[in-house]
This record gives sequence, C-alpha cells and structure tokens, in this order.
Amino acid sequence: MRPNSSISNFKEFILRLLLPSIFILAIICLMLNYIFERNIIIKSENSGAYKVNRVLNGKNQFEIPIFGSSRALNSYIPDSISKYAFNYGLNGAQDDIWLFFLKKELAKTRTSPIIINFDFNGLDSAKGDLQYYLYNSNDAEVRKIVGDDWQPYFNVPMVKYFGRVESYITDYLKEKTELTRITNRGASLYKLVQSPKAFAAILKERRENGEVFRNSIQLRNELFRVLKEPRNREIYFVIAPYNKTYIESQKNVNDAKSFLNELRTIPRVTVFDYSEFDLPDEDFFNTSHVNYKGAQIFSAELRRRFLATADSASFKLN
Amino acid sequence: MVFNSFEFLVFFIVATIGYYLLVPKLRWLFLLAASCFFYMFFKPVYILILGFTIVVDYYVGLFLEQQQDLTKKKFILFASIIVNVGVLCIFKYFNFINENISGLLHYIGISNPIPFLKIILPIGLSFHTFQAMSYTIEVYRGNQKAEKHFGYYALYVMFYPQLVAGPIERPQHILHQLHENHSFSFENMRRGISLILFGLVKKVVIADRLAFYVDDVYHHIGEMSFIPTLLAVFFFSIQIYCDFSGYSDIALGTARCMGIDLMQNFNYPYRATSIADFWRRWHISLSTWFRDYLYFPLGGSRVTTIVTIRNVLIVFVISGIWHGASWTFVVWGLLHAIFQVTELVRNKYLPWFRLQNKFLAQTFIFLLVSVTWIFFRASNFKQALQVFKNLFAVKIDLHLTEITANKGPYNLVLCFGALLLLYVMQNIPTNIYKTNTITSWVCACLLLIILGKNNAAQFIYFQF
Repeated sequence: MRPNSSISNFKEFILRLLLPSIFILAIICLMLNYIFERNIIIKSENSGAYKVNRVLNGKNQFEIPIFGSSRALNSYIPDSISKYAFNYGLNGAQDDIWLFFLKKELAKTRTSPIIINFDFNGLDSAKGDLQYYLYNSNDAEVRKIVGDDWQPYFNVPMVKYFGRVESYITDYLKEKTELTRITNRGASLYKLVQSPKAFAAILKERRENGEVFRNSIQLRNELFRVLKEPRNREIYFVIAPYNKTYIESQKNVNDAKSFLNELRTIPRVTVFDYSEFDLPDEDFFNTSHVNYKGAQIFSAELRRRFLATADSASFKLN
Repeated sequence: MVFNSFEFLVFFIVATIGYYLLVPKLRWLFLLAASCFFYMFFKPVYILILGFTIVVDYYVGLFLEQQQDLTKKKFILFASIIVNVGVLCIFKYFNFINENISGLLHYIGISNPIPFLKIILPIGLSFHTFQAMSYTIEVYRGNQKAEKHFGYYALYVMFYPQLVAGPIERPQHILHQLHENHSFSFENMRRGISLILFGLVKKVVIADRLAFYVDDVYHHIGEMSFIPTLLAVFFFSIQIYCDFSGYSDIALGTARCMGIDLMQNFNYPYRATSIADFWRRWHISLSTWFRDYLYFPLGGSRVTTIVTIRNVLIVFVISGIWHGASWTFVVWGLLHAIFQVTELVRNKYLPWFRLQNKFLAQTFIFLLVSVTWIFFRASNFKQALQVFKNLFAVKIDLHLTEITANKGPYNLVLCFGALLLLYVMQNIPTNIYKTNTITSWVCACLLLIILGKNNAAQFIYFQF
C-alpha cells in the first residue's frame, strides 16, 4: 500500500470513526453523569458518597452525627435514637475516616452531641470503597484520602464511576425497595437472616480466628489531640453489641477496656460499652454485626441511656 | 500489565501510534522493546528465563536447518525440547512433583529431604514455551525456514498481544507477518478496536460479574446448598469462556490494529454437538498444537482402536497437566479423554446411538463440559467433591443470602443480565457490527462504564 493511501486511511479512521465515537460518547457520559449524580448518588442517604458529601456540606444545626464503620452502619437506627440523628457509618471504612469526619464536624458551629461507634479491633486505617469519595473527588482533603488509588480517569465525568456504578445503584435500590435491607437516615440494617448452617460456620470461623485489639500509635495520638482540644460538644463513644463468641475469642479484650478507660478521662467524652449487651444469636447477622431486630433493641436501649445522661432535648423522637 | 487495566490502555495507544510512526525496518525493535516492557510489568526478573529459552531455541533453529544428519537433528530437537520442558518443569511442576514424593515417602514413614522451591510461576510460561517448541519442531520438519534475525525470532516468542495467554501461534503463520510492512489500514483499525472492545465487554462485564458470584460459592462451598452450587457451576462455564475468549479477542484486536493477524482461538464452543467438536472450537491454538505435535506423531486415529484410545488418553492427560500442577487438572483432562473415547467407541460400534436433535446434543455437551469444569475451578479434590455432594443432595433452600451468595439480589439479576448480553452479542450478525461501528463502539464503552467490574481481575489463563 502506498504512503498516501495510508495517510488517507488514517484521516478517514480519525474523522469517520474515532472522533464521532468519542464525541457521541462524551455527550452521553455528560448527560448520564448529570442524571446519575442528581438522581442516584445524592438521593441515597445510605450511600457512602452521600455521607461524605453531607459531612463536607451538611448545614443542619441540630444534627447528631453517628460515626463509625460498618458496625455503626448496621447497629444504630436514627429514628429510634433521636429525630436529629444521622448515621454516617461506612462499610469497610475504619477509624481514620471517622476521625476525618469528626474533625470536619467539630469545625462546624453546631452544639449537638456526637456519637462515635468504637470497634474492639482498635484504631486502624482503611478508607473502604473508593465509591464514597468519587463524587467529591475535587475536594483536596477527599483526594488526599484517596491517595495512591487516584486514577487520572477520576476527572472524566461518568467514566470516573467505572466499575462502581452498581454499588451506587445497589445503595439506591436498598433504600427504595428495602428488599434486603431496612434503611433509615443513613443506617442500612440487615433485614435478612443467615441460614443456621451459615451462622454456625461463621461462629466456628470466629472461634478459630479471634480478633486482636491493636491501636495505630499515629491514629491514637491524633484522636487524643482532637479530643483534648477545647470544644462545646459532647462526644459519646459507644461500643455496639458483639456476639458473645466474638468477645470470647478476642485475644486481648482487657487492652480494649483499658483504652476505653483512657478515653473516659478526657473532659466531655463519655463511653457507653455495650460490647457484652445481652442479645441472642438470632439478633446477629454475624459475630460483629447485629441484624435489624438486634439494632432495634440496641438503639432503644441507647436512647434510654442518652435520656438518662444527656441533654434530653437532643434526643426527641418527633 | 493486564489487558483490562488503565495502564494497558495507555500502553496500547502509545505502542500502536509508535508502531506506525516508525520506519518499517525499525518496527521489530520497537515491538520487541514494547513486548519486553509489557512482560516486565508483571515481574521483571522473569524476562531472563524467557531470554534464556529464546536464545537456546534461536540457535537450535539455525543448527537444525544447517544440519543434514537426521540423527543429529533428532538429538538437537530432543535436547531443545528437554530444555524447554525442563524450564517448565522447574517453575511449574517441581513443587507439585516434590509434594507427591513427600506424600509417598510419608506413607512409608520417610521424610522427604528435597526442599520446596520458593518461586512464583512466570506468567504465561506454558504458552510461550509451547510457541517456542512449535518453532523448533516446524524447522526440524522442514515446514519453516529458520529465522536468521535474532530480533524477529525473539519477537515471534514475545509479541506482546499473545505473549502471556496465547493464541499459541505457529511460525508459518506469524513470522512472515512480523517481517511485512503493514501500512495503516482503516479496516484493520476498525476491526481491531471492535475486537478489543468486545473482548473487554466479555471479560469486564460478563466474566468478572459471574466470577463475583462463583468465587463466593466456591469459597464457602461447605455452607452452600443445591441452588447456589448449581448456579455457580453453570456460571463458571460461561465465566471461563468469556474470560478466555475475551482475552483472545483483545489479543487478536491488538495485533489486528498493527495489521497482524493472529489465529482464531474460539469458535462458539458451547454450540458443539460432541466432545470432539468442542475441542475443535475451544482453545483451538492449544488443541491443534497437541494434535499436530503429540497426537499425530503418536499415530493419531490411523492405528488400531486400542492405540487410538491410548493416544487420546495421553493427549488429554498432558493437556490437563499443562493447565496446572494439580491432580484436579489431571482429572479434568482425564474426564475429557473418557468422554472422547466414549464418543469414539460409539461412533465406531453404535453410530446410530446419538442425539438427533441439535439443541439437545448441544445442551448435553454443555452439561458434560460444565461437570468437568468443576475440577478445573476447584482448588482441591475436597472442594470438588463438596460441589458434587451439594449437587446430589437436591435440597431446595430458599435463603436469599445463600441463593445470592451474599452478594445481594441485584448482583444475581446482573449475572443473568450478563448471560443475556452474551447471547445477544453472539447472535447479532457480524455485518450489523460492521455497518454500525460507531453505535457498537459507543454501546460497548457504555456497557463497560455502567456494568463493568473494576477489580482489574487477572485472566484465568494467565496462571498457566
């Protein structure tokens, strides 16, 4: 083939195929991005992306935020705690993330209490699924959390959600259909129960692999620095219930309890330890997460405790 | 670097543009450098192993061509096969063999003094070893002239689109193409990019979606009941097809963009009406390799029935062990051999005894093949036997968490959607894609963005 023919082939390919395809794809992606963000992401309160956005931009003066990992997500029913409560629990995210949320929260001009669910595996770092951060990926601090996982295509509308579209849709559907989950102001609660065979296997695995309480020194120092700064807000550290197998298999439960005692010494910090709250196996989805029924019992008990110790105006139900 | 990654997208664009911008006589060097970079992206040090076999086989080729003495030629060919298979044995089979020796010695109360090697299998070793062996065998047979230019020979083994998981090319088909001057062609680019996009859809939208379900079921197989196990077995048959044929499509497409035509590796294998037919459609480059270099030299089917049966057994057992150093792969190969032998005997003595209806025959073969995939997918016999146990204890347990393999109902719906998508993709006539290229490209990209799984999962066949 002559070079001229090669060049005309190239021109033809670019002008007739590649550019029109890219152009059409770009238009569709822009449209989809607009529809998707406004109708799916921002419409699902239990979605991590919604929560990150709410922490950054939320304006409700009376809000009582509940921070934590998946245990927070699955254990606290805001409706049963207070009409101002909102569950910011993130599946797979660990203490560095709720610490980031806490700092953002303390920078706001609110006076409402803050609830933090504390896990017995100690202070650890894990950002969870990247889907939580993509919607706000232009925010410098959010981008810092994404860190090395940052990809250049995160700047491209809609393409940035590649591979994660289903997780946003799943969150949306969970809220709209409540087929597998009961959702309530950020909370996402296990509606389903495990089969007895599966639950027995979970217990067996837990017995064989007990958790170890282990604090990251860096996170511990950062947490104490934040907590010791002067503030006008009460912070409640709550340990949501664990299945007794979890506690029995925990290698150093006393270290966890000592850490809680350390937290108790900080002014305006209260610790409610429900780790050994008496719940039967039927109220658990697995050894570290209660199901909907367990969450109902626990949330009601927590509210009773708050009413007895805290400002009752914040814990109105209606 | 896996094909379904952002890094590969950038690499592909740079490699293709660079290829066409260079003067033809330098293209081999550029492609070789690109292939080295591609391979070294996995684990750089393993390029030395590849380099060693390339050097050995290059000189073996030259020697075989010059040598007139048949005995010497045979000896050199044999030595080269020993070197190639030896490398494969050290890296792929040493620990497996040692483990079995340990087991046997333990049985008679002796501890094994041979230490285990702490090595990771070089990626694509089985593929490029077979490709290198096909070169020396073809030169020995006189079907291919020895390649004088070391660079072109190295590129024949290392050509990046097919380096890590085939198709296992023949020198007669590919070497002359590497020498040719390929000008930019509209049709090659159109066809190439279409193949890449369709391969990606097969891998990222279909195979990875099904893998999400299958992996969980196999991981928790002891806790699973009939329905999820059955679905996992069925899904895996589709997963492995989409995973591997998706890879092959991307390989073919990438090469096609540079004007190079690689051999077809799949031809609708689940439309096969017999096991022999299945192997004419599945991983064609490997099955024809075994046919040409093992089955025919053993006598093929032009011998007595007993010897033919022996030949089939040898080929399939070796094919099984080629896939992986595990007894489960041997059983997988053996099952295919048994099915093929059964067909062979039936064709000879009871030719009327067959399913006349094409759809029923296809379904039957699909079921047989799916059963064999259980051994292919299972990490050990215990897991495989548990799969059969779950399948035979036909106990319908309607726990939603179990049926959905803890991945939620939406994922299960998407799994079935993926199957429907595959059906639609394979049943749209080719000319529709050709006349609606822009539409099909945009649709493929949207499918990838909206339904793709973003775990950059490795292709199943990369482990071989």
